[in-house]
Amino acid sequence: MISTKRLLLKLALSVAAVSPLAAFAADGSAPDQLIRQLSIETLDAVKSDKAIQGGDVGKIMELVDSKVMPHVDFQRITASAVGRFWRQATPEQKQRLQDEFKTLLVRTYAGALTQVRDQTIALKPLRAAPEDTEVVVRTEIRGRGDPIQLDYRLEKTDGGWKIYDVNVLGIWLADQYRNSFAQEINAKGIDGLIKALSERNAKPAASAPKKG
Amino acid sequence: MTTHLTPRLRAGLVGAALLAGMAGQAAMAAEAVGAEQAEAAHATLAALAAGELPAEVRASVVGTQAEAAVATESAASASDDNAPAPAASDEAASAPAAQSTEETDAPAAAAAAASAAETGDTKVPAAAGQAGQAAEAAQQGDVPAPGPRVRNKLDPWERWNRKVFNFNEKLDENVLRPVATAYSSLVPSPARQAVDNFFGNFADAWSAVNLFLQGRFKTGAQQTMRVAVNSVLGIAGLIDIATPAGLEKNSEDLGRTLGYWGVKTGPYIVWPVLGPSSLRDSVTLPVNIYYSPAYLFDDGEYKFAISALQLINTRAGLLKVTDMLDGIALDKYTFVRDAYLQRRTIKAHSSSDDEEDDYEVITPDEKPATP
Repeated sequence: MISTKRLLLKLALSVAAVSPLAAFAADGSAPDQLIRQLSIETLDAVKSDKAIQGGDVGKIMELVDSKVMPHVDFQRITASAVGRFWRQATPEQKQRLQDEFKTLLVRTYAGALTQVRDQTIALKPLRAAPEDTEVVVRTEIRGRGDPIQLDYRLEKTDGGWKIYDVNVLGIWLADQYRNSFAQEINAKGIDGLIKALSERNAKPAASAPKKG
Repeated sequence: MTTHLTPRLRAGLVGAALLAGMAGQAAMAAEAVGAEQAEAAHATLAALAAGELPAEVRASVVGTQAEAAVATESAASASDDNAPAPAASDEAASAPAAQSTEETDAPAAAAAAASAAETGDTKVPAAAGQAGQAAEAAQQGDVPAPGPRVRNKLDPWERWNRKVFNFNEKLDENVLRPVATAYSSLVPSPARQAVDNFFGNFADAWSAVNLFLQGRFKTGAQQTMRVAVNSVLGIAGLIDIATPAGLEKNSEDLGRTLGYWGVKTGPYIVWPVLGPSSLRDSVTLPVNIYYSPAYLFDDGEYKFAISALQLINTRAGLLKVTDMLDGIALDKYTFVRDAYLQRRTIKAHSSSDDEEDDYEVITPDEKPATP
């Protein structure tokens, strides 16, 4: 009887001891820990899944939606890329822009993920004050050839830290698309941009050399 | 001359004067060699330009007289006052209003232009970069911008650049991409890897020099160690044994070094064959030709062969990247330009202590719980 109680107590204690850690990883109470967790999980998922290595966009989308997106403020990323036109967009247009942009990015990374073999991830020590609400976490993907710089901008929200921009090889995502988007919107309006994005997404990935 | 020069600008000017000297040397070398070597130089140039960014491969093995003219022009631009002047005025105008994406260092640039103007020295080598040229332009008054309407202040010559870009695209599609594809499928992977390592080792040595020039001594020493290990134990760089040993690759070049010294990127320029560049990076092109792997060889034929191989190797390494690029860019020209400008825009003296931080390598074993 006593031993059972003791066992239960031990169990409760160990759960109590472990759960903060779990919560720590899940809600990302430290931005660099969140990125570390995300990186490891994603890399593991890719390495253990032949379909993803084969560039299966559907599978990759699934992975992104389940693992990555909960920690991403994708609306902010899209808004930043669309720039000043974002305020003119209707809620419906905003949603479509987000969806199409996400698909475009996932297709981009689908190609990159097929290259994952024996890469490791390296994390730079976080240089931020505890009271900072916006931080940059710097990582590198190492494998053959040059290491691939992969940095994240994170913002502290009520729902934990959220990624709101990504830098691949020195290129910030939102900045990269801002001019392209503005160009399209100037020519054909917001619906024109949505159309251009969905047309781009409808094309087969890694297509043959463009004609003309 | 010295009154208002900030230390950073002075360092930049000194460096630029040095550069101009080297540029002259390279130009002389280029003139001295025959047509064949000129071709070789071009191939190398192209390869170097291509090596800067995966997305920017626009190059070809074919060298024509026109292209030769381009190279000598870029080499000799140091002494040409008129051609770059409109460019400079644009740069002067665009620098303070730099894009929001850029960490603005506009006052510095303006100050640089102003203090250079005070010197009244029109012989400041154009290689001194935007500072000198902007000053000259300022003296000449407002030169109207060439081209139709200036959409992007960082790309004042967009109309012309687009033409060159399309030309390069065609050239790549018809010549370089097919050759690189053939190379990838015909040459066995270990051989290609060795070739890639060899050129990589050469580039690493140049990176080490630039790391020291940037004052990043710790990384520079590590890079030097890397080159030493690969050159000796890795049989002249054919095997990369430094990476597995923990000596990571750190790629730097002269354009970036100038950026560290405070020279702004300047307007975007697309060179025929060589691809995307900027005013600042164009200045470093002659130096890059001179100190390419072809430098190791005296004989013209070898020079040509090594340059051609370097070019094909570079292009082959980017086949997947360019395929991907076709899939993600709404407008390829804009996409490549913005990627180039973002990558080449460097904060002057980007907090070097941050640079020296070591990365912590995460291994999946550290994962707390496996699902």
